[in-house]
Amino acid sequence: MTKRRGFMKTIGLGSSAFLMGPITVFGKDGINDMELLGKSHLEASEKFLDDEAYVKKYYETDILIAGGGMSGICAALAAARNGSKVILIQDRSRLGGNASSEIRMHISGASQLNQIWRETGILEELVLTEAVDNPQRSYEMWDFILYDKLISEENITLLLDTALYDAEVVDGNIKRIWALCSPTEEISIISAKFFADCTGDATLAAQAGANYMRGREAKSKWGESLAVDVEDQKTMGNSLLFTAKKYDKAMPYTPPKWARKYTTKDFLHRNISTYEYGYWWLELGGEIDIVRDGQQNRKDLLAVLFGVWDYIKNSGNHPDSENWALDSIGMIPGKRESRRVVGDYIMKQEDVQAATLFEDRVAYGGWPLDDHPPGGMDTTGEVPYVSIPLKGPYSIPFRSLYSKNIPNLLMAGRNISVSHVALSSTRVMATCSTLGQAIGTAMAYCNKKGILPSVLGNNSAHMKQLQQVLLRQDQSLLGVVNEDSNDLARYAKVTASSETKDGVAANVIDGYNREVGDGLTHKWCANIENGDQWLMLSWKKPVKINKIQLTFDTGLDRFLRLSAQDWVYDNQIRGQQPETVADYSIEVKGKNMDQVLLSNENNYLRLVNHSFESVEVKSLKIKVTRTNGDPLAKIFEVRCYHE
Amino acid sequence: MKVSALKFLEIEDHYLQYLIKGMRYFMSKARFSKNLITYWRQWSDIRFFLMFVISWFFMSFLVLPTRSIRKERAFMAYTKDSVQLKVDVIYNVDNEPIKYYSYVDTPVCEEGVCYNLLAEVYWDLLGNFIDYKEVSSDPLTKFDHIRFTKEDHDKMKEILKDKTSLLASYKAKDLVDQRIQIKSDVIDGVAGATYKSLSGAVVRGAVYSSHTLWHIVNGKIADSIVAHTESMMSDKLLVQMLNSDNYNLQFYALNHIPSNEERYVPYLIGLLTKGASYVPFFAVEKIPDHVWTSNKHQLVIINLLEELNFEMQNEILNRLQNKILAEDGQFALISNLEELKESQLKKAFNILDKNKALLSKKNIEYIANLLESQNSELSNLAYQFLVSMQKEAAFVSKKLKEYRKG
Repeated sequence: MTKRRGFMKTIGLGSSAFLMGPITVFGKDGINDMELLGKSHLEASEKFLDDEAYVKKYYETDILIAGGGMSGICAALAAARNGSKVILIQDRSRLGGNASSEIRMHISGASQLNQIWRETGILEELVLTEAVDNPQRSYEMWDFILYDKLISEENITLLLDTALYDAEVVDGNIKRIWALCSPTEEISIISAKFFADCTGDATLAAQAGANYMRGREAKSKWGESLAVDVEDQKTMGNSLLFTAKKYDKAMPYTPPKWARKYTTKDFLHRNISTYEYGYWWLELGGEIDIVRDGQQNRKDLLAVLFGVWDYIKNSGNHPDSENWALDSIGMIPGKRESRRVVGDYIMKQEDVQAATLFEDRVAYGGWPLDDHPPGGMDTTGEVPYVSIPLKGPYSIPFRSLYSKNIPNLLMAGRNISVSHVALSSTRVMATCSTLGQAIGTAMAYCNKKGILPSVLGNNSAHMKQLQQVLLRQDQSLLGVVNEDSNDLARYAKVTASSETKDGVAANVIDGYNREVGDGLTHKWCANIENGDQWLMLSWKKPVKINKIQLTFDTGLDRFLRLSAQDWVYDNQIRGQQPETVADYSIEVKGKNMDQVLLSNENNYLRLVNHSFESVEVKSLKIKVTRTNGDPLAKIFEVRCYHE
Repeated sequence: MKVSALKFLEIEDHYLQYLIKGMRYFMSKARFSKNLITYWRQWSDIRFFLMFVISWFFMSFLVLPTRSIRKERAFMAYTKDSVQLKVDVIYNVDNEPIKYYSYVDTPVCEEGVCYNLLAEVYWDLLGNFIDYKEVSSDPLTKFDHIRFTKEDHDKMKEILKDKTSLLASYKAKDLVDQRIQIKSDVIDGVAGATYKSLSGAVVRGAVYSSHTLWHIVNGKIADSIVAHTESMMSDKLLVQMLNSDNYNLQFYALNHIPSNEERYVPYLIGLLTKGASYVPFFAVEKIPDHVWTSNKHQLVIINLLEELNFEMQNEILNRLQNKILAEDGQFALISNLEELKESQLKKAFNILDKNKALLSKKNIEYIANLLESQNSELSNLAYQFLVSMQKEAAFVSKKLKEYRKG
């Protein structure tokens, strides 16, 4: 059965071109309409005679990812790095979604536990890069760090300003999608094997007919104590953020006439302590259709934003704001909640609070159960949030990351298969990023194995393999350790120039690549103040290797994130993280061989992969000559492969 | 009224304590004194004691039947363990309901050991926890039957007062990390430790007691108390709430009195200074528009300025912008200028500016006196104001000249 929605007819774009056979395009450019009709070498004048504004471009790929927020970015990078061809469409010119310069919400996650649980993997690579490359704390720079990462991957085709508007479902599977790029007047028609809905709003899922949930479930539905008594269609609201700057003179402010008026009582539960960055509680929209009523909601949010700034500037309660003036004003409300796609499993409050350890866990969360009452700034007499802290991180199952009724549709972000209550924790962007990495890796796995996500999610042998791939690529999975039989380091004897009492050399092959709260460091530590330190792996028999993977310490007990809010940096170290090994070389010894295989300087990354021509070695020595400040040279894990 | 009622309760407790102490004293003397002389020497003490008992006896006849505190059964409630609890409403001597009470006796089971938790619990009229008292025969205990310290009681009360505690949504067993075991001498085994990140939500070593008591205190009983109070609701009770010093009661009453009714205006104005926490800011919002243009009310409100905090002063000044003040209102504002912060003075002079044409000579003179203020911002603004008046302020030109000279 073929199912198409009526969008094409509505905008008059129906064309016989749709009847043509699939075109395989893995490159950066799709094939356009005229080329399909055999006119691949058009005269310049002919192009301008084209009487239809919009040109159709056809693409075929392994994986289509809709949405270039943190989830979509991590999904695209993961899938591409695992060998799949990826097209990522993003409806804005900038990447990052809620984390982009267009919205400017800082990326939050399990660091909120104030433990050791900062997320790792692709997100860690991104934030470490940003901390080093963006000392000026520019949001636009952050946008381009994301852009750089995506366009540097050969397997990714990035289509910016390209908004999904239709999907074709054949025999229950999504076959292709339609997306429109207004600035280039292009319609992209993209066929793929797997589709990832990282739109946040689950636009693709809804358009394809996937089952989804909206609003708030009643307590009685799943026995959630934090749920509402009677189910409704309300959600958490959207927030509009601003930034402000301090000048060396008084900066008077007159609000627009339509700005709301606030008085002291409106700030009973809403604290204004700094001015450089707006407030997450500038929130509205939970009581309306958070998607469909977006235009009105933005208008109302702007009235709120200017109203609050008017209160700051003119109520008299904030005389120290006299020299402050608005600098940037958000026009895209940041969404917390919209649709949630139904997966094979729906995560609930209990799973978050009691930290159910799912067998098919592919990510973890650690943000509190942080629900926002729907009234937002319409109900300032009420608290803007109810936050229930968690005892520790909780696992997230893969079965909540693919659609129950559209077999080739996966999702990452706020639109995954969770109850409203569970969403109040899973919705934050660091968690969403790890979900992105999880489905990106899973899609590539399914693509390689020729299986569907539901098979992967319900088959423990497959799942174990996927988890090992994820772990190798630095996705933290609670209670999953390195059991990769191809990792030759696991069979080596490990010695070192020196080691601390709790940082013995053998820790680099103990299966853990981070601290996990069991009282052990799981890393090799050696005091570099006493001179260069080395760690040596030696094998009884020579082994052939062509890849070495090192995992360093980057201070996962701290926050690390860009923010427009100054205090967010209080617990952060910007730039290179001091714990990280900066300069090192790797020496190898084998039959008739004793050489420096490679060296690396100014490293700041946690996970570093070295690929080289195959060498047969009896031993390899990692010589650390400098850290980014820490007196101890620290390495969590060493892996060696011949692939 | 509530305050006086509580005080009366304390006095009555003292009476009882004196009576008991006196009886003990008498008995001890009688037991150990050996001769009549000693008895006679002690007779003055005994006489004093007997006079006290007799007067107390008569007082109980004369006063208590008409002006005594009393309690009556409000409702019966059941805990989640199906334990029945009787909840009483307590009235003060003026027959006003003042709080709710229940003698809680409920089983608590943890780590395979069960015991009864006993406490006398008090709520306010809206089901907010006020206090508990231990039952002396069964005091509250922690891990391994160690009695609560004062700090533990303080912590427990803080927990019980927090309606948004995470205990609302956590099961007791989920608060305990079984990976970290603590050896017990009492239960002949080990028990789990509270998760570090959640430990602030419970009394250390009393996870299950904290959890059980919180759910009794803040569970269905709290809702039933609200319903019961609402069934007794009257204008008198709303006023009693407005006059209380309890934030919750004030806020509830504020939200339940009709807007724009003159009879409530004095209470609303009263809350500007007497309201707890943020109540004054909701009260000021509820003051009807006509109050801000009424000379009578303006005067009362402006005279409160010196008592009010910074934010409330701003609220008042903002609301008086563009309003015409009577002479006494103008004077009240001028005489309060010294109480205002630099950023507020502009607002105050803006109000005076709107009243420029109406300023009496006397009030202009008062403003001129401000030229001598130690507060240079104030004297400067006063100077600019008077200069802008030209004709009307001509009679203070000498002072202006002096000010210019510095």
